[in-house]
Amino acid sequence: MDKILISHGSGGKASKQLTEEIFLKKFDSKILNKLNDQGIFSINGTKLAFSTDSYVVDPIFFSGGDIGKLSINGTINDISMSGAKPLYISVAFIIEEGFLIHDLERIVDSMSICAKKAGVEIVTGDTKVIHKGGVDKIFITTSGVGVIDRSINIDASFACVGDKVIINGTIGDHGIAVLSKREGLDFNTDIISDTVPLNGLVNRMLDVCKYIHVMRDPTRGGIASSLNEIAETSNVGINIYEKDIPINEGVRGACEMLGLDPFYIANEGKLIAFVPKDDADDILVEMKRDEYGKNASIIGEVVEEHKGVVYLNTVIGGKRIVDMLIGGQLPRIC
Amino acid sequence: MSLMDKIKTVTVKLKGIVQGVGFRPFIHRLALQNNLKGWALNSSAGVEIQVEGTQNSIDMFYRDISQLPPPAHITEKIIEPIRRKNFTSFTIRKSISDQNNFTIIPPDISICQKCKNDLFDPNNKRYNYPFITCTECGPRFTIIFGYPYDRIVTAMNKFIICDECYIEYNNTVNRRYHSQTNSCPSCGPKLSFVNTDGNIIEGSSVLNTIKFLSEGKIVAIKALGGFQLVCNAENDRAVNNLRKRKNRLDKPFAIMVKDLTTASGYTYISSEENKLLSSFCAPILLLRIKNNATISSQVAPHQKYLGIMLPYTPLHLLLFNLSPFSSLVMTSGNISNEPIEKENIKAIKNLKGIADYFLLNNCEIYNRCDDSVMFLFGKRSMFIRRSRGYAPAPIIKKIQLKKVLALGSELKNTFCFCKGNYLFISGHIGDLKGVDTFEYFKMTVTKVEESSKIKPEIVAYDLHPQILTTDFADRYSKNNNCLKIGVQHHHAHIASCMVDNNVSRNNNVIGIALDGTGFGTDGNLWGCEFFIADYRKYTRYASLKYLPMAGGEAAIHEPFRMAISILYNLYGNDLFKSKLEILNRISKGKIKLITQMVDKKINSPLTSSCGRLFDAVASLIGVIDKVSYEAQAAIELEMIADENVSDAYKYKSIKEDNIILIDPASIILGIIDDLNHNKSKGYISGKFHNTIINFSVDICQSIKKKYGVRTVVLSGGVFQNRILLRKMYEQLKKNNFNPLIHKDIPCNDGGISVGQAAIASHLEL
Repeated sequence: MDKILISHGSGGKASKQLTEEIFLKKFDSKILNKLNDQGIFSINGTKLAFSTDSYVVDPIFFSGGDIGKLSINGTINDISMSGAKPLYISVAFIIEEGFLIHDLERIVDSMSICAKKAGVEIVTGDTKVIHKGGVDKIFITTSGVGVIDRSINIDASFACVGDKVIINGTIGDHGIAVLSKREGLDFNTDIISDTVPLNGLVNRMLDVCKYIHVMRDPTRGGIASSLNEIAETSNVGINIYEKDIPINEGVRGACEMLGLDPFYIANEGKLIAFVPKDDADDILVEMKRDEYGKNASIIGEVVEEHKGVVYLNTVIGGKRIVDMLIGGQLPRIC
Repeated sequence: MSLMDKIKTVTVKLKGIVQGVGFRPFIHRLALQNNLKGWALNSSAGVEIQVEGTQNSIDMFYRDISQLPPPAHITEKIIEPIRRKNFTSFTIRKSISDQNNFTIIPPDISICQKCKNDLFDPNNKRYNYPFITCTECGPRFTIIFGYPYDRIVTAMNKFIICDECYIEYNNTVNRRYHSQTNSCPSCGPKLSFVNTDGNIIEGSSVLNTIKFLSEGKIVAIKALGGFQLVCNAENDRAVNNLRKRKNRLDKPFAIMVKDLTTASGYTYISSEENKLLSSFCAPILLLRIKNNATISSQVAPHQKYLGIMLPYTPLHLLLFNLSPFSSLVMTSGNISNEPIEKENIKAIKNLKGIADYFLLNNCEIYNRCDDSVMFLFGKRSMFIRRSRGYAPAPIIKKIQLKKVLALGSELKNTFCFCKGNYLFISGHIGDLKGVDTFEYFKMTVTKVEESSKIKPEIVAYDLHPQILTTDFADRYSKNNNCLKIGVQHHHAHIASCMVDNNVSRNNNVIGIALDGTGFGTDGNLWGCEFFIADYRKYTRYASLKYLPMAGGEAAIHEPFRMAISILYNLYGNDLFKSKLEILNRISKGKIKLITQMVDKKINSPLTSSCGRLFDAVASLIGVIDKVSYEAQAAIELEMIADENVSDAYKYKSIKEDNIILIDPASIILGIIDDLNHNKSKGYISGKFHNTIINFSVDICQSIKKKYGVRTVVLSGGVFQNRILLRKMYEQLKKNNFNPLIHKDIPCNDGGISVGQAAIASHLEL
């Protein structure tokens, strides 16, 4: 590693290497070392979750959302994945000189509607403007805090053998929506980003079962990366079943055409939960009642064997390893 | 006493494949036949023998040694006269064991003529006995789980030998003397016949199998190295059913034929091919189909060649002998990408969607072994897959190698342990992306490491960052404290062919590697590479000009993507105005999307692959747009080619960064011109083949002129194309080159591990 490559930000193996060899080493924090989507700590007996994320999506407006909506939902979701109730959010803008006020208003409106809907309050912020060309249109960073009920204990290392793996809906929608808008690709069907706040859904799930072991929002790197991280952190094997993984026909068709694997495509309104076997069905029923969980499905389970590795049982009866992504999706040798 | 009768004593030291192949019993019998006294033992170097007798007897003994039992193979023979020892008998002495010395595990051997005679002799106690064997034939590798080779470390340990068989085992003049697999109907393994629920069907298992096969059913048979899915090859409905259930649309099936007469009814067979078919290895041989062959057209659709093998186990022979069948489809009993099934219960579980019935037995298979696949080029036999009958016996070459484990490629994987001039190449492992296949890979690596006793100094692997061997190499090198060396895919191809031809260490060659795709050092996917190479290094002298592969791996499954990619490269957006047939077959939306992916570099890696150029041409001229098995487009393009065409397309080349680049678009222009003039597909394909040969020979000329190198090494999967192989070979010869082609090592990715081993061995560290 002597220069930053695009792959260092892709959420795959290179990102992991960068984080471990540079950030974790220098920052030296036990909380950070856990590599959860949020830092969890207590202040005066109150358990808090704290998270931050930057948004640089291009294009800034896409089917189903915009950079503002994404920045609020993203941080809400990162906090929610710890089981916390997100409460307060900060917003920082880096804007390119010449950016249209009209567009900024559109973005801020969208952020405000999102925050209200999710029941969070934007309480602090910052704005920087950079010379034309110094930044691409607009970048947004949001951070947020939430409170966690004492009895809830969710962590990427808590997946147990026997746990069921649940997802709340279809995969790949966001990534394909953004890609097709950015590149002007026409797939004959409208593919819409799935960006939504998941705090309400998480609440309902925790009401059914406080003992959810792991939750992750499979954003960058798709469900493949999230599942691999969990398999490794919890040191367990994960089996998933292709036939049970929901995917929109439009997204499937687009992925086939583009030659991309939907397991590696980003989502912005999805969560993967690892839950005790006996509670899985109850949680699933409750999830299906939520507007963001209608297509929820049990997609796999945790096993004793093949620790740290995710196996996919394919529709045609084969089994293959779902690996972490290295760089872009390269075709296999043949 | 005449001079000739004078007693002499000699030491004979033999090296090669001489252990575990019934060699000492063989020597013992020879000694007895020739009235010689002395001893034989296994030593670290091979087999050591001392014999004492008359000159005449010793001469006869030398002569008879050359009539070795199969798969034994002597590579070195040292004979020294020694002082008289006055031996009183001939004995097999205890082996001198040496911790550093490897064990050679013999391959499985097809049933010998003597056992065939016993099998069909109503008076023989092994009449119709499906597990008949002797020291010269039968399962070896597939039933071994420990070393040295002895009944207790084989699957036969479960069957207590009966008194009669034990007498044979101890009788030095019996051909079952020291036969570790010796058994008979009263003490050996038994067959059973079950339905998909695992319930036993009463009656003779063999006759039941025949009955259901006659009805057009599919039966999974537990054979030598794993399960085979079997149906009547002359029954369309049965073959179609098998295709549907196995999800195998077009890929040709191999068949087993009753006998050579049947084989020559189906195909043209030369005397060399005849010999290879009937050899103890009994491989599947690709033979040219006769027009009037009576097999189902569904066995090998769109093929000129048919994969044929002869019955190689007593069970196979019984199936034919007791039935009216001339030929049976026999294909590996596995689910796609997974290893061949070898256990009864698991096989029923996994194959019950394909097979209607199962012919089982209670003898365990410890090591899987797929059928070997070969073809003959002139008199030279060439491997497509080196497995049963060959693996795991080592290949011995005139080259000195370090102790290396080379992990091979991801598809058609084989791996290789080497040391000195011995290369232990695994049998066919398969596509490592399959979970069970990768587990099988890891397990087999451990097994070969134990038997070969090679502790690698180096682990060599392919440079592709996303294949499972890369991670494996990482862990292996840490756990075993050895170096790891990444080897470029096409350099490995070329080195594998150099090893195959015993090219010595300091020789420079022109290497032509034509294949599907391999990871290049610039991050692009190479596949039409002209190197100046030795074992240590290579210079990329020429290649194809890069083309984008829209959709990455999807372009491999859909050859039309490469065709559109080239047309877009030629015409830009005017492409949509073109009147080419292909534009009517592929939807406008798809074409548009491909051009966008190319423009915007969305999942469109660059490739210089020869296989992808074949794809583009196959789709452009309307042979095939979508494939269902690897290399299908290239294969079907070869099958329709008119070999008598001598024309070739013009091509342009440019020089960029000191590399000569052949422009594929310039060739395509000529093809479009021929299409516009309604030239036949066969003509165009023939002309396209000639074009590849032309630019290849031109590049070789240019290298020869500049560097004086005359030896040309041909490797890569594209050389399974026999038109290309033959014409390239002939043209190179004609132009005063010295072309080297494969022999013991496959030219496809099954040979990559050998090349990796050789390159890693030669690097100066």
